[in-house]
Amino acid sequence: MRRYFLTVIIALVISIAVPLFFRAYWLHVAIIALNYALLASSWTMLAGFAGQFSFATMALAGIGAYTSALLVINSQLPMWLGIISGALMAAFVGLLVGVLVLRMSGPYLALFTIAFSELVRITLNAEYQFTRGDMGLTVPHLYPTVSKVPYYFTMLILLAGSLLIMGLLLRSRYGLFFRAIREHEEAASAMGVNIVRYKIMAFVISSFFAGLAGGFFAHYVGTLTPNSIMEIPRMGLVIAMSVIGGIESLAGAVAGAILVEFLQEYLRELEMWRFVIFGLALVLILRFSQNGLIYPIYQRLAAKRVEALSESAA
Amino acid sequence: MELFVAQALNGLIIGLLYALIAIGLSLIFSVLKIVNFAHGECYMMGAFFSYYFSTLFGINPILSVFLSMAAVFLLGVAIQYLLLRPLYTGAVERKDEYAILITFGLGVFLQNVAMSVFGPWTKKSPDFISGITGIGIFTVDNNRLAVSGAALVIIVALLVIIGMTFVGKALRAVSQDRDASAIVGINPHRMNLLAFGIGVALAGGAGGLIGPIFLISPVMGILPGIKSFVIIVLGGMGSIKGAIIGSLLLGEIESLGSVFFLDPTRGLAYKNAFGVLLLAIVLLLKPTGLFGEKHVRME
Amino acid sequence: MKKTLFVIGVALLVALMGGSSVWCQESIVIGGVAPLSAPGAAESGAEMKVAMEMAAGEIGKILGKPVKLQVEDTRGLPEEGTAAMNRLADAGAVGVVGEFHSAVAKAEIEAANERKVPLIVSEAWADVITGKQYPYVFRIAPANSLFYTKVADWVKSIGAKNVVAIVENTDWGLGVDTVFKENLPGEKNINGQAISYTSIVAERTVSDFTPQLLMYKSMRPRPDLVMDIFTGTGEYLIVKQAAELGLATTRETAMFPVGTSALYPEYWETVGEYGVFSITKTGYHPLLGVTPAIMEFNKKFEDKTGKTPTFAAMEAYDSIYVMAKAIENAQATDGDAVLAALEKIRYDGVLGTIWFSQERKPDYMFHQWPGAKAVLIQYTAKDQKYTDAELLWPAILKP
Repeated sequence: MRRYFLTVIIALVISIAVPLFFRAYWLHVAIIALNYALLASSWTMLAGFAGQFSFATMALAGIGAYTSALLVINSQLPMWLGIISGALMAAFVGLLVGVLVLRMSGPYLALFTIAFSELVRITLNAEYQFTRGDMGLTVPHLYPTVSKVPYYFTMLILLAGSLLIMGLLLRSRYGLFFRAIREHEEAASAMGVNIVRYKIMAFVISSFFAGLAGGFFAHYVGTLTPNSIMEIPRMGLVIAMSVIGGIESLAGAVAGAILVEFLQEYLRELEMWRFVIFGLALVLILRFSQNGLIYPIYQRLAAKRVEALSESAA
Repeated sequence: MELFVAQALNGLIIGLLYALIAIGLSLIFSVLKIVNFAHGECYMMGAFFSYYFSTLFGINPILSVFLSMAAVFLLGVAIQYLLLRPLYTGAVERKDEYAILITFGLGVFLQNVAMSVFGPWTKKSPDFISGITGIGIFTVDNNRLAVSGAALVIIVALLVIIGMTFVGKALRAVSQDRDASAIVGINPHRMNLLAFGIGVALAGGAGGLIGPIFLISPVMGILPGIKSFVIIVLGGMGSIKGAIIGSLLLGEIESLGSVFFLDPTRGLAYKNAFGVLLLAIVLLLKPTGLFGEKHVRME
Repeated sequence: MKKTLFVIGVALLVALMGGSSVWCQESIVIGGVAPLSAPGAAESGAEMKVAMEMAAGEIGKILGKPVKLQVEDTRGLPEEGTAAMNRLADAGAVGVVGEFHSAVAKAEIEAANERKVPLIVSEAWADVITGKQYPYVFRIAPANSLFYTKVADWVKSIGAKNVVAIVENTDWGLGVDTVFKENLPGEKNINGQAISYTSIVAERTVSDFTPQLLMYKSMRPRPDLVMDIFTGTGEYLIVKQAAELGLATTRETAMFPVGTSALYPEYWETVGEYGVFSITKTGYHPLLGVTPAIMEFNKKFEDKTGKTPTFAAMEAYDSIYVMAKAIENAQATDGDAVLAALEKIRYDGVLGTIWFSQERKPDYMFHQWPGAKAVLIQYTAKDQKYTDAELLWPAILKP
C-alpha cells in the first residue's frame, strides 16, 4: 500500500513539473493528450472491460461539448456548471444508447453505434442555425488567461479524478461483473449477474466521462465543429490509443493516448504518413499482440524481476 | 408527377450501384460471419487501381475495371490470409471483437496509405461512354446507364455462380454449416479466401465503375462503406437477395427523401442521415432485417 | 501501482522529447498557414505554400538575418488553425500569413490577437475576419460583402429572374449565401422583373446532387442561373450533374461555379466539355493589367510547378513580401512594432499597391486591403486556362 502511494506521488510530481519544461505549444499537446487519455480510458472501460465495442464515444463527447457550449453561450450559466451539464447530458444519451443496444452484440453493436454517431454528426451539421455547424461555434474560454498552465492542471485533475473513480469501480465487484459480461454473457447471467443493469452502468459511466472530456475540450480550444470531434476516423484514433496501450488496462489507455498524441505531433514532418504508421501499428498489434504494446512490455519486465528475485532468494 | 418518376429512376440507378458494394459485404458475412469494416476502403482501392490502369498504362477503361477487380481480389486474399485466418484456426479468444477491430484498423490504414501514396486530390477516370440520353424530363449521363447495366450483369453473374456452380454451392454450404462442410470434403479455409476475395473484388469493381461518375479521392470510401452496412442490415445480414433489395430501397429513399423532405432546403443536408437512421431503426426493431437469418455468434 | 508508474514513465519519456526543443534565434521566422491535407483544400494550400516559399527564397534576408519560413498544415480545421498559430508563436514567428478556409481563419485571428503575432490573411473571405477589428489581423483577400454584393449587381444587370443555388455549409459558403439572400430576393433586375433566389445547403461530402438539380430543372420559369457555391469535389460534381441532366449550361441557364476549384486544370479533367461557357470568379486576370511583376511571378511559378498560379498563390506571395517589408520598416521584430509598420505600409505587389484601411465602417474594412479585386470570367473552350477565359464582368471594388 505504501508503494502504491509512493508511485502515485511520483507520477503526480512528474505531471506537475511538466509545465516548467514545456513551452506553450507542447503544453497544448500535453493538454490534448490528457484529454484523449480521458476519452481512451472511458472507452477502455466500456469495451476492454465490459466488452461493449461501441463507436459512439466521440459522438457522446461531442454531445457533452455542444451541450456545455450552447448552454454557456445562450444562458448565464457558469462554465463549470456547463461542463458538468454536458457530461450529464452525455451520460443521459449514453443511457439511451445502452438501453437500445442491450440485445445487440459484436458487429450489430458496432454498426448501431456507428449509425448513432453519424446521426448526431449530420444533425449537428444540418442545424447550423443553432450549432454553426461546419463554420465553427465560438465557445467562451474557461480561463481568461492566455497561458495554458491553468488548463493543464484542470485537465490533469479531471483526468486523475476520473481515473480514480473508474479505477475504483473496476477494482470492485462491478469490475468483475463487467469482465464477466465481456467474457461470456450467458454464463455470467446464469451466475446471477444482472446483465441489463451492468451493461447500462458501463454505458452511463463511460459516457459521462466522455462528455466531461468533450466539455473541457470545448472551453479549452474555443471552437467546435461537428466533423472535427465526431468523425469516425477520430473515433478510430481513440481506439488505436486504447489498443496500443493495452485494451484491458486503464493505465494502458492513458499511456497509449499520451504516446500516440505526442508521436503524432513529433512526426509532423511525415505529414500523412504518420497516420499510415498508426494504422499499421493498430493492425499489427491487434494481430500479434492483442494486449497492446506497452502493457505486455511492462509485464515481461515485471516477470523477469520476479524471476530474478526468486532466484536470488533460493 | 414527372418529377417523381425522374427521381425514382435516379434512385434506381444509384441503388444498383450500391448493390454491387453491398453484395460483396453480404457474401463475406455469410461465409466468414464477420462484417468487413474495411469494405469502403476496398471500394476506394478498386477505384484507384482502375484509374491508374487506364491513365498510367493507357488500358481500355472497361478492361481496367476488370483488372482492378482482379487486383482487389488478390488484395482481399492477402488480407484474409494474413489478418483473418487466426479467427478460424482457434488462435483468437474474442472473435467478434477481433474481427471488428482488425478490419476497422485495416480500413484506417488503407485510407491513409491512399492519402499518402495517391495524394488527396480529386481525380476522374476516363468515361466508358460519353454523351447523355434523354428519358422524358430525365436526362441521364450515358456513363450512369452503362454502369447500371454493368452492375446488373455482374449481379446476375454472381447469382448464377452462387446458385448453380459447384463453387457457389460450396460457398453456400460453408455459410450454412462450417463443420458439416468440412466433413463432406470442402475446405473451409479455401472458401474463406475465395469469399473474402470475391466480396472485396465486387466492391473494387463498384469503385472502378463509379470512378468516372462520382470522382475519386482517398476518402470516397467512408460514406459508401457506411451505406453498405445499412444495406446489409436492412436486407438481412448474409442474404444476397436482401442486399439487392435493400440497395434499391436505400437508393430510392435517398433520392426521393431528399427532395420530398418536409423542408426541401434541408433535405440535402440530411440525405446521408436517412441511411443511418434506417440502420438504427432496423437494428432496433428487426435486427435480422428483411431476409436475414438469426445472427450466430462466432464462438 | 508500479504498472501505472512504469507506463506513465514511458509516456512521459516520449513527451519530454517534445518539450525540450530549443530554438536558435539567429533567423527571422515568418509563419505560413495553409491547408495541406484533407479535409482542407489541399490543392489550394499547395499553391500557397509554393508561392510563400518562392517569396521567402527571394527575400533571403531581413534586417541582416536569414529568413526562415515555417508553413503549417491547418487541414481546414479550426482547432488546427489555433494549434498552428500557437506552434508558430512558440517558434518565435515575427508574423504569420496565409489561410484559405474562413472557419479556420476565424480561429487563427483569436490566437493571433492572444499571442500578439501579426497575421495577414491572404485568402479567406468571411466578413467577420476583419469585421472583428482585431488590431493584429490584416487581410489582402476581398471580404465576402465587398465582392458578392457586386456579383448580385451583375445578376441584376444580366436580367436574371430565377436564381438557384447549392451551398456548402461552411463559413464561406453560407456567407456568400447570406449576401445573396440580402441582395437578390424581391429586387428588380434590369428588365424590371422581380428576382427570386432559392438555395439549398449541403455537406461538403455529398456526391449526388441529382435529386435537387432535377427539382431545379422542373421549376417554372426555368432558372436562368445556377450558383454552385461549393469548393472541391462537390463543385465539380454539381457542374457535371447539372450538365448531365440538361439543366445547365444551356441557352436558358448559366452555370456559375463560385469556388476557386474551377480555376484549376483538374476542373477540365473532371467536368470535361461541360465546363465550356461556365462562369467563375477570379482575383486575377490578365485583362486587369499585366505588369512585369505579374509576368515574372507567373513565369517563376510555372517553371517551378508546371501549373498556372491562381490569385490564391499571388495573395500568398504578396503577403510574405508585405510582412517582410513591414519588419524592415519597423526595424524591429516585436509584434507591436510590426503591427504599427503594417498599418502604414504601401507595397507594390503582384496584385497591385497593397495598403490597409483604417476605416471602421463597414466593420469589415478595418485592416482590409480596399484594392482587393475579383472579376467574373467565362470559359469559351475546353481545357482553357483561366487566364485565357473571357472577361465577363469587371467588379472593381470601392470601399
